[in-house]
Amino acid sequence: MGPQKKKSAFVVLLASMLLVTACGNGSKSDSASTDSSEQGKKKERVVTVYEDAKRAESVEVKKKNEDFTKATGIKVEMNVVPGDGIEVYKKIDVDMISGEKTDVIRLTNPILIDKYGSNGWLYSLDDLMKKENYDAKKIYGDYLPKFADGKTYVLPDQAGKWAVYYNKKIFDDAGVPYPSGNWTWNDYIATAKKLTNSAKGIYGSYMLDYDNYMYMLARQHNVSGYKADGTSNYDDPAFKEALKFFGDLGNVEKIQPSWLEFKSKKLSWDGFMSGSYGMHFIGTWYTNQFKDKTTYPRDWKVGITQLPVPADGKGNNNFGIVAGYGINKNAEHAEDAYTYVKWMAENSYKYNGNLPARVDLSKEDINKLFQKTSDELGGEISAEELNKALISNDLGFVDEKITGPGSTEYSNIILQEADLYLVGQKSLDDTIQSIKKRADQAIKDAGGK
Amino acid sequence: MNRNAKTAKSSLLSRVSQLAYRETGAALVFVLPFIIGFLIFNVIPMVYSVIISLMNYNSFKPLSMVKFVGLDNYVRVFHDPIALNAFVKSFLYTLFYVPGLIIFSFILAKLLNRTFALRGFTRTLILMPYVANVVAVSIVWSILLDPFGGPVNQIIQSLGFEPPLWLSGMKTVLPTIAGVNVWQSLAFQTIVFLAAIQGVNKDLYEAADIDGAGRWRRLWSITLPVISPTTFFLVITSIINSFQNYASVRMLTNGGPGTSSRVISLNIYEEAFTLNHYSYASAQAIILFVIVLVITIIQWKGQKRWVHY
Repeated sequence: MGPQKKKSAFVVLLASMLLVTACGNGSKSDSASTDSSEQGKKKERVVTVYEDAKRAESVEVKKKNEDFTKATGIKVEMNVVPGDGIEVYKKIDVDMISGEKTDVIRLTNPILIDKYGSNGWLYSLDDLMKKENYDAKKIYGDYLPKFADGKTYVLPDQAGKWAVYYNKKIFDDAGVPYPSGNWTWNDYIATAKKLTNSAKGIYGSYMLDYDNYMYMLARQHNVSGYKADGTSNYDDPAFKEALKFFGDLGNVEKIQPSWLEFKSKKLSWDGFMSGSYGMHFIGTWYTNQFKDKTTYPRDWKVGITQLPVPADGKGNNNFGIVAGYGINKNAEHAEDAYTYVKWMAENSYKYNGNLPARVDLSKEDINKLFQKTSDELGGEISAEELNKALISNDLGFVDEKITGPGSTEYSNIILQEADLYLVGQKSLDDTIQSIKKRADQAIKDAGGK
Repeated sequence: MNRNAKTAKSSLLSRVSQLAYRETGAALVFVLPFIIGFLIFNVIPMVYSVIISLMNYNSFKPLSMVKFVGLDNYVRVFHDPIALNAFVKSFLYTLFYVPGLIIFSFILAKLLNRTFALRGFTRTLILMPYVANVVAVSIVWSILLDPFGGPVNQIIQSLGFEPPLWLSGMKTVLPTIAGVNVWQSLAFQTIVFLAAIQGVNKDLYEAADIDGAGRWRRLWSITLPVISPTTFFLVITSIINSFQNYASVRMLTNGGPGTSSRVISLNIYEEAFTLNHYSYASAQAIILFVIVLVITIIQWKGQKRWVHY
């Protein structure tokens, strides 16, 4: 290397060192200042929690966190993830892999609970519960999520059921009596037909594009998504019947937007709040929307009734999902996070109008909850109506989702293939065959049969 | 002695301080920030992606449980109808998008090259879709092409024709997305074509006029050959962009109906972030990279036949 080249190399090296040092200094001074402030913070107990952008702004979550801090002295800091619904878990997944230390993750359905718990991303709560003799089984009963290793990773905060919410104004305008429960899907269709008024842009019914709508009838009949040998059970005639039934509601009966209309108009999950639909078949988490008259100003009153059942009398079941809180296995404040998870699991239902996952509550407690919800709704729905629609009826209870090996893929496959059938571009038989074939492969890939 | 040492020291300092002003040293200093950025944000992630694609990181498990599986993920792509379908969809999309974009932008550039009233204003209008947000563009086009009472279908119906399903039809979805993207990307290509057309030596046209060449002959024998390096550049960048198309597909159809518009970029994203198939998604990304590279090399080699420098 000649002297000229050596000098050039020296200048380059010097510049690189300056650049690296400059970057390094920045982070170092940051951490130094963090260190000094952390000493002051050591006395302050903090728990960090993932929340999606919409929930983070909600009155419900803010109030819940304030009350938690009042009760425990632990401050809640939210790690707000852009987006909402299951989209936020894409970011959280990557965070987990990169060792992010945010303490608490809210898992909104059984597929997510299974995914995070079974893959080793959650902190086992057993030791912490044992330390204070916390009997989770006694409090949450069968709602307590189970895992293959027998450990407890999640405490459930809600066990939502499904119901039919209805717009009383649309019923009144059409001169149709309000539904009183104990009805079949045929009754639902007949009622929705009376309410549908295309001249006014009113549909009698509204349903969303969730996977479980595609197989709700099969789930009501308690038909499993998996066969005994672990392969997909989607070739069971119940799934074919269920998909046809759902498709016909929009395409044949025309009581709700067809799938094509739903997709091409990009109708939203809170479309019912627009006041253009007579009935909405949805989970009880939806109750909160009716309380929020700032986001959803409305001139109509809402009612609730139990979900319809299949006419054959063999599927008299309600269904629903358990949601809950888990602790990140890399949590920075695991013990405080445990306090948070426990508090939320026990108290969330008091804030969100959903059904608790607690089996230790008395009838009085439940009635109090319904009365509170009724008061928050300005008496639009009475406590008795809530009780009748959700608890005091002769319906059984089954899981809403297909959960098991490869369930995320399974769910995606159902939606992709059903999409083609629902817009009339694939036959029902071909759709069912495709779902079965692809789901079998997904189950196999996921380590199932 | 002391004075000598001092003199030597000051001359060394002055030489060092001047080094940065010398050509080689200055060049290195100037490109260094780019090289560092390129290494951190391009080379290292690419190498990491290649390494990940050789692992079995296909579930939501800690990295510590990942094992080397060789080319398994690459072999799997060729047995996966969804992935293969996604590659085919990307090719089809490119077939609609690139010719559409090149032809329309050239025609538009030729039109804008003429003198007419409000030419400056028209050029500004053409630039507007290019600076518009892809999400906003997607929402607007979704409304316009809505099969249920959308204005476009209402016009078609009023003319007595059966309107297509546009974004909701299996056969129409890809050309429709390509059309929306052509509309949005038209401005950049048009401006580049316009600059190239304006750079054609006027003497050539005058000579052609004297020789009695018509409009088509002048276009075919003068304009197109002279601007061929620009066309070559635009074709290459358009093909690369078309294979990378993600945002508009995601916003307009999210791959639907079914998998009808599930192009490979969307498939890679879904495999990685919805299904946690990180290795498998990386393998697909590497295959896509190789395909784009091969297409680019073929074009590079083939340019001798039609590009005139």
